[in-house]
Amino acid sequence: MISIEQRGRAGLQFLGSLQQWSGSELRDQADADFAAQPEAASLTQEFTSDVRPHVWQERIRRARDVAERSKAYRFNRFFQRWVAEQNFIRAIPAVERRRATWEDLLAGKPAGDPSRLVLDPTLKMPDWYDGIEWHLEPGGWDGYDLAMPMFAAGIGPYVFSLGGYAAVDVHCDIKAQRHNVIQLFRNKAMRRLYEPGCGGANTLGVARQYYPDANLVGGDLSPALLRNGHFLSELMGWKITFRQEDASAVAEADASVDGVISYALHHEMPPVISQKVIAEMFRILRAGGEMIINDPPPFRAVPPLQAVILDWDTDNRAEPYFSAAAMASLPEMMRTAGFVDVEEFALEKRGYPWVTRGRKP
Amino acid sequence: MARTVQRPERPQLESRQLDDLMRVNAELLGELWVLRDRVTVLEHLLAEKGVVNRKAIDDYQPTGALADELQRERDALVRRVMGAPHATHYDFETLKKQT
Repeated sequence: MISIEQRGRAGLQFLGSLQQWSGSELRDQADADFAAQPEAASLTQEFTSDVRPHVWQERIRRARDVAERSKAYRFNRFFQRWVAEQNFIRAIPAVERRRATWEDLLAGKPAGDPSRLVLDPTLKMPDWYDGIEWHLEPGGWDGYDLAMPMFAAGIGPYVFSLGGYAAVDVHCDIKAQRHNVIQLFRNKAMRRLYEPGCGGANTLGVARQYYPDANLVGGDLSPALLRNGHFLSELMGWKITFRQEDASAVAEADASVDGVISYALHHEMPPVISQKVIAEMFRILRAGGEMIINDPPPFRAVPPLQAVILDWDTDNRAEPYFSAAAMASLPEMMRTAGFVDVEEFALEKRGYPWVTRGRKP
Repeated sequence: MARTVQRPERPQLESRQLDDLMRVNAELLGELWVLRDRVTVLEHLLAEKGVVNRKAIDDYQPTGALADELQRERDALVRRVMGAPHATHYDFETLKKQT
């Protein structure tokens, strides 16, 4: 694998260290500061009951006012935003300095099956998606032609892999989390597994280790993410099929898949779209098939300060639907779609991964 | 599609001016670390190859092309760090110029 040069590496490693320190020491102090406030106990009690979105907004505002009395909280948020920007400010120049090398690497496509990548240039991007610069990445998922090396050789290993952002707690192993979620499927004889909004090959690549003979299919709106996923999949011999499509209308037949894995998707779409996607997944599942969703936890499942921090992402980290998703109920959506045996639970502290799963009767 | 990320209106600290000052500090610390990392790597490689030891580096006085290079880098550092509070956005064009 090609590396990035010293300036880029050291700069990104600095961001990783800063985020880890801020996400642990400052975050713990912010928790302690919040708990010491006179309103803490009543807010904590309030947050255990679910309410309508406008009431959640009012609750979050009050909890944020309390949180902002803490210097540790304010600096934690400052560093969170600064690191989120600097990821790109430092990684893009680092990748550009070796542009020719990366272009040569990406041009030499790995031996594999090009039919496993199906792009649809006529697909119209939905209004809720178009133009959003997710996670502060200039131009969004499709804005930078060298996004794959930017993440794979820079932001991924030096910053993201260390945790400490959004719902991902510091020191979490985000790869191990994918393994832990995939292993929640009770059907161990999977023949066909579909992932809506797959991004790249991160989740289905892990799934391949548990289902060596299954057909693995991922759909996404972003051609860049699909190309990157296909490149990695063919390189690794995972044989995943990638298809550019809207998750609310996918090219799978009725009752044709055994499982659906949805990983960190629903907080990146309005709840009304989530409902449509879940209904579509219900359509393509066979009877007895299972859908597993991992997403950030809802406000009702976390303490007030964690809710404030999740809500912060909406205005500060280009996650326009984060708060709306945290006020919605994925179990309710699944039951509305027809799923049964619906349950939800956290796998780690601070509520992430937050799993919602159900079965098609 | 937009390719310019704007800073949020609402400050993280108690005012936008405090945010600006803290941005300077954060940039400085980042630059300081990049430099310390590089110097440590450099000294390690030089010593490993038997080229020069740390005392020789301590005693060296830069002149000519090396002095010019140091000035260029120094000027760029000042522009980047002290300009941080005045930078309201970033985009591909400005980032590419840093290469």
